[in-house]
Amino acid sequence: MQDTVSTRQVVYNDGVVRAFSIATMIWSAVGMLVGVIVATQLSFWQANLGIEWTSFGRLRPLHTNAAIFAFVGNMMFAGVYHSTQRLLKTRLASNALSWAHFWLYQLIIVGATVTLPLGLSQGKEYAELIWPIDLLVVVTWVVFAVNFFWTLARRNEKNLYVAIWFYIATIITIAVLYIVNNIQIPTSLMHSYSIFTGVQDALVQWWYGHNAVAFFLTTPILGIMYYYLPKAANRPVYSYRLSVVHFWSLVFLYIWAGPHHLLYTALPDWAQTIGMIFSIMLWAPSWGGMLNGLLTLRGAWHKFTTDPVIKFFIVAVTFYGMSTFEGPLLSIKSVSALGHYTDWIIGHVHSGVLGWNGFMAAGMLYWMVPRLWSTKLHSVKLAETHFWIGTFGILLYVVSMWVSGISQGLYLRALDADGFLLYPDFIESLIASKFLYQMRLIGGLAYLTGFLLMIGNLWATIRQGKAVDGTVEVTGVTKNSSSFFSLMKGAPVVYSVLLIALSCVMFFVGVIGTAIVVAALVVVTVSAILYAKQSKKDHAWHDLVEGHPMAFTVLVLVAILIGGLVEIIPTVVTSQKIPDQMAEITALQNEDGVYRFMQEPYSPLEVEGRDIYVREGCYTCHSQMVRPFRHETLRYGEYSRVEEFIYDTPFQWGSKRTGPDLHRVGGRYPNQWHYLHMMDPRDISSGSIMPDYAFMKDKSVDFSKTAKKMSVLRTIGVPYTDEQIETAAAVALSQGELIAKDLSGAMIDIEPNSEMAAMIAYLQRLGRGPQEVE
Amino acid sequence: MFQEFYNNSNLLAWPLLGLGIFVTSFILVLYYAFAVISKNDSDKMAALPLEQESAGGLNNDR
Repeated sequence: MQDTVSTRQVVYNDGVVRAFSIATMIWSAVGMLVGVIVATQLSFWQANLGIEWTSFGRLRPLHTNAAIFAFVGNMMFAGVYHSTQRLLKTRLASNALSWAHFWLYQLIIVGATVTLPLGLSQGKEYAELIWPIDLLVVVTWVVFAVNFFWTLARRNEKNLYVAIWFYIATIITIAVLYIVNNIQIPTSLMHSYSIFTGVQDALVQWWYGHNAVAFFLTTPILGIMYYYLPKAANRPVYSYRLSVVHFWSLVFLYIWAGPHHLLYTALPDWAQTIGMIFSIMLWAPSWGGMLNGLLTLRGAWHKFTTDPVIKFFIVAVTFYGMSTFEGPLLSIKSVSALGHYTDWIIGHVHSGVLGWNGFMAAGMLYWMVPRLWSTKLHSVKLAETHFWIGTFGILLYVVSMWVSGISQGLYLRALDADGFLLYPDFIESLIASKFLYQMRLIGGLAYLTGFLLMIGNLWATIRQGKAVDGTVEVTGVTKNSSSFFSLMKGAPVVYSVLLIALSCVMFFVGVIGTAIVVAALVVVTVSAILYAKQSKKDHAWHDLVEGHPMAFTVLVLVAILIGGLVEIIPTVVTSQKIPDQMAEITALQNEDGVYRFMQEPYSPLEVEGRDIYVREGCYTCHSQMVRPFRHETLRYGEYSRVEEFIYDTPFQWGSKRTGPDLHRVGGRYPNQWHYLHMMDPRDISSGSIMPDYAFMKDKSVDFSKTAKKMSVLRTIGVPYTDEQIETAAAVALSQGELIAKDLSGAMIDIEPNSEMAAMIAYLQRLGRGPQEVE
Repeated sequence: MFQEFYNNSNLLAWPLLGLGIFVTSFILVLYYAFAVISKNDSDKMAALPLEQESAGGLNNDR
């Protein structure tokens, strides 16, 4: 194939970039405002307003989704579309797809903003959206991917700059993560159950959850850093070579790190250890990227004092370094034992989102908006003010959370000289954190104020300018001369396939065979290096791959799949053998093979109660996972075991304890205690900041839907019989009558089909392990 | 009890396999980045974002 040479003017599609930029501003204010509201609720419980739609458990998912997907998502799309056109010297492939992407994405956000306060939720962190919106997300992502790769195919620049690699990794990985984690079976238009249960669900969810951080909040923003930082500094990236290593190491390592969210839980120990090891290994590429960013400013540091864009970028990259130091630190098992479930984690994620993502967004918008509207920034002084208020806000926020979190960790684990809890009352740790929660609120308010200043400043900039699209004169080579198939047949790909095949063989041969295969691996690796050395004058193979986005994309897919498959497949495959395995180990079966003990599925009323628990977002403050530590078993009861969760979908292990763990709460208190606690938590626990759930007394459960729910649960693997499903409504009502009758003895009157009865039934069931089969 | 199962499982070979593939790939990428890419190519790629554009094209975004 011959290269073609042409000279023509390319006009970029900056209209959609402008739209995403404005959406970024709007949704940043919304996301942060909801953040301030939930921070207020944690300081002053009255801010829950006693209304179900404004309770913490429902607004917290709205805050996280708005901050991550609405704010950072729109910022990412603005940056990706703006920089991609310029790096590839071509206009976006399709105006229609670009605008479809924009409007569909805003529709998703509006859908989330309406459904989450209504309690329509899957109950999995950062994956709360209900299935119809999930489908819309998939369609939108496909539109984005097609538009992006089509643009790549029409590019007028032979090689792909490192920022484009990060964008490709984002598109591919998010697609895989989102689809796998959201495989679910609907029970109605607004409700579904994940096909994963218990430990599988936990592993898949945090594989998704952690990599949503990695591939939604990190890789696209790194691409943006690699483009806008050199632009703002007017200097090339410090080391292009380092960026190559940074990219491949990060993409390969990040995908493994999810289990560090589940340390000391019922997740198998080997998966926890892998999560910890790969998280620690992430230190190196993360800091390599940070240093590459900061050193890009060599010779341009004087701009730090005069250019607000550079100021925002420097602090953002510094926060990237800080949070990617803190993440691996928290992934060390002994550190996690202290920090997990505390405010330390809240401080960590906010140093990432506010410091890294938020300041990168601010820097990018301050740089981009004046250029998109062909004018100058309205007020540099206002941008400077934003910078200092924002920096103050982040620091106050994260420092108060660090102090609060570490204090909570130390407080809750403290034992006296006899080995018993020094502070047995959980609520005291919450009361001790109250001042720090108020400091957090002030920090959040300051950060929001800074962003409001930015929005006003940029709006004034837009008003004084005029929307103008960028153009570029394109001359020169437009097509690569080697074909995709010749690349695939090339020595580098053959070497790679050989290495992977040999590695696979290693695990099907004995000790001697393994030694032989290892030797062969060494030989092949050395040959590959020698080949690359010999052929570098002709074509570096990575250079060839860079010229072929499809090949590049396949390699990225392989890199991310290795980690995901290796972690998830053993757990999923093994789970199919769990009953037999349990029987062998614990003699749960008698001589005739009939189970003596079984984990009993939830009753119909408990199923409904569990759905209410999920709807109200109880998992945002309460865990259901007692870790195997003395201070936890003394405080909550026997440590949680993996077989106890086999019918839990979605799993509700939680990630933060603003309130105590609930896994062993079943049977601990009488029904009356739960009723009074739900009506007004402060009647039972003075100092509690839990919203009241008095509305549950007056709302009734529609038992006509229970059978359908149980039927879907049976499809997933819960062993309900036909009879149990057919009689679900009647059984639920009779269990509700038992609870209502019990409460009537204390002069409390509730309906047997009330949500209160269902919730009490579920809470009383929690933590009951395998029961003897009668 | 499940710890015992996993400890005796052949499936544990897979994480080791993944680690092996990573280490091999990492060495190759390192070698490529620091021994194969020429300084000329590296400088050319690093300068890609700095190429200038002009404003003032048609505003035909809708």
